[in-house]
Amino acid sequence: MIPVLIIGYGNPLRSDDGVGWHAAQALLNEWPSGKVRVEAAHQLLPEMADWIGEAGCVVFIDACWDVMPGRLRSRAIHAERTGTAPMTHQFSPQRLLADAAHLFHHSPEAVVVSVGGGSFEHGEELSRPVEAVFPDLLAQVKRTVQKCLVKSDCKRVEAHA
Amino acid sequence: MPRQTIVIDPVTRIEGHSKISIHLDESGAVEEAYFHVTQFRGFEKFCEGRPFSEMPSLMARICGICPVSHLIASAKACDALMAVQIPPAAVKLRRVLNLAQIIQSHALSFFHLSSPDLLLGLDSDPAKRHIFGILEAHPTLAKDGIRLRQFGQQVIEWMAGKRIHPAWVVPGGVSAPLSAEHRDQTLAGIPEAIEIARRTLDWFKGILPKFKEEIDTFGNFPSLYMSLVDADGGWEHYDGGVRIIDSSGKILTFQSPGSDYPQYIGEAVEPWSYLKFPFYKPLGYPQGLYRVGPLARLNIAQRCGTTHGAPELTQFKELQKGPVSSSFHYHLARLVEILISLEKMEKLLNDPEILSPHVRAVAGANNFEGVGVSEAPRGILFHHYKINEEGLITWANLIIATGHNNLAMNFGILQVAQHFVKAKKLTEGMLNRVEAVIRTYDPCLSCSTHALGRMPLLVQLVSKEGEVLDQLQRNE
Repeated sequence: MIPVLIIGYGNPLRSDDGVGWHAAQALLNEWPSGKVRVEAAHQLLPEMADWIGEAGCVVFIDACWDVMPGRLRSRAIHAERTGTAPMTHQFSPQRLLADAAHLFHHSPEAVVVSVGGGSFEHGEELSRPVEAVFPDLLAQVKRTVQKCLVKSDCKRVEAHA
Repeated sequence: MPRQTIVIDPVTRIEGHSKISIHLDESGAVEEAYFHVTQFRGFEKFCEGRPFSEMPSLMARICGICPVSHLIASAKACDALMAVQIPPAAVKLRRVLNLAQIIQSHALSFFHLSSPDLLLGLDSDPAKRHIFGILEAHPTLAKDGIRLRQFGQQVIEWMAGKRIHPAWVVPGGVSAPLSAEHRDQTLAGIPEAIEIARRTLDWFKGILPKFKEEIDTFGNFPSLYMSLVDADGGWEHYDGGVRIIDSSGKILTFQSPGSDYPQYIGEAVEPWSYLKFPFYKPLGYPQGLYRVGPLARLNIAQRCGTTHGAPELTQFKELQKGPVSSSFHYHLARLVEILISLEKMEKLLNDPEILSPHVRAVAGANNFEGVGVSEAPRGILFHHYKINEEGLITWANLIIATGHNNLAMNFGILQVAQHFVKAKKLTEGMLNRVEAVIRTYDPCLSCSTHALGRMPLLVQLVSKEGEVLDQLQRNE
């Protein structure tokens, strides 16, 4: 089991939609210890339930449209059997957690760190507000990961005790 | 009764955008059926003026499901422009990558797109007839599908750097050698993948008798078949020659190099679809209908040379005297090919040459014209380029697998509609069967949109006067 899994997702050809993907790319070599697995993806896929089923904690990074452009939002999420949308583009983190629980009998703690997007048009650049907040986004993810790692260590100590 | 038209728009659980129209005569019987591809890509045109060396990366963007196929066919066309023989290790690495692509794409088609019909039933509740329904009702099979596709995708990432749109395959070979670590990781995953493929194949063969009516009517007609074969007429996916057989199994084209495809393949167009209609020239259009892809490859291959695959290939050929003609058996052929691909991958990775650092031949343009041919998961793929003295593309022609099957898909929906569609009262299961015959071919129309289940769908039965006689609607 890997203590922390980060999935940064979005389309890097659709401006701010790709902020999660960019963040994952920036964090790829951040934790050489092997305790954190970082995956950059264009979209969430059913296959990811397999990774989630082997993770102690999951951090999703995504763009969102329901907060101000450039604002960060971090929230804990839980498995939900909702969103039977036909398109994988609409596959939700909650649904993935539910599938991991159903298929692999494990639903780890999970957090979504989101950034309000300012532009979802064609383009490889982030909008100014999102570009400006990008370092804060990475810092927020690192803090979240750190908390997960501490929890993971505590659990290990408890298990040994 | 006036003539009527039933429209299924969009067709679901395929890659890309399309619709089906079914035309009824005065008595309410199905007279014609058309598979309309309603999207336009334009890659052949907008690559004009680009340096040929950019083509593999540009062409990979055609598809999010099978970028590797376009990457390989394009690189082979560029190899021909450069007139180079690429290093043996590069050939093997390209082969492994293509096999990984076949595995992941076939897994997507079988488990994610078609298994809801096969497991839950073609008449089952459409609200549950999708991949999520499979996850809930058949978790073991869903888990197998996830693991198998994951494996193929992971191998592509290990070898080529990323799962979608990798740029590792380049004119002259590949851009970097394979590491021992990634070779060993891949080899370590093969036994589990073979076990999954075996288990799924055994299960699927067991339920086939339940689909007798579909086997009899889902695109079950005599046709020609086309695929690559190796020098001995065996299963091939990367090199070899193009072989075409007729409906009795007689060889029409023994071992064409592929670069001469314009001599035997013509391309027709119809005003109601953006997808071209390739045909076998000696028989003319539309009589020169042929099929490509897993069904064609297994019908044509005389052997496959792998331990698990060989008996499966033999059993497949025993389904019918002569080539297997039902398009429903594309599903079975896909599973057999997953098994063959895994075994061939294992053999290639155990060859010490696979780790050779010599993986690229370097040259400029030495020919003004080049053709690259390979087998994509859905069938044979041609990339044909012409360049000027500066090495800039002046003309490009692509014949993709789904295009080769276009005539067959249209013939298939007509056959299914004539058997299942009863004009007076439409049922969802009836129309799902018309879609399902298209799914057997696993068409890849743009690969940018992945419909995994229910999509908004409006089917209307409209009289000649415009009166809506019956209607079925799905909303999301």
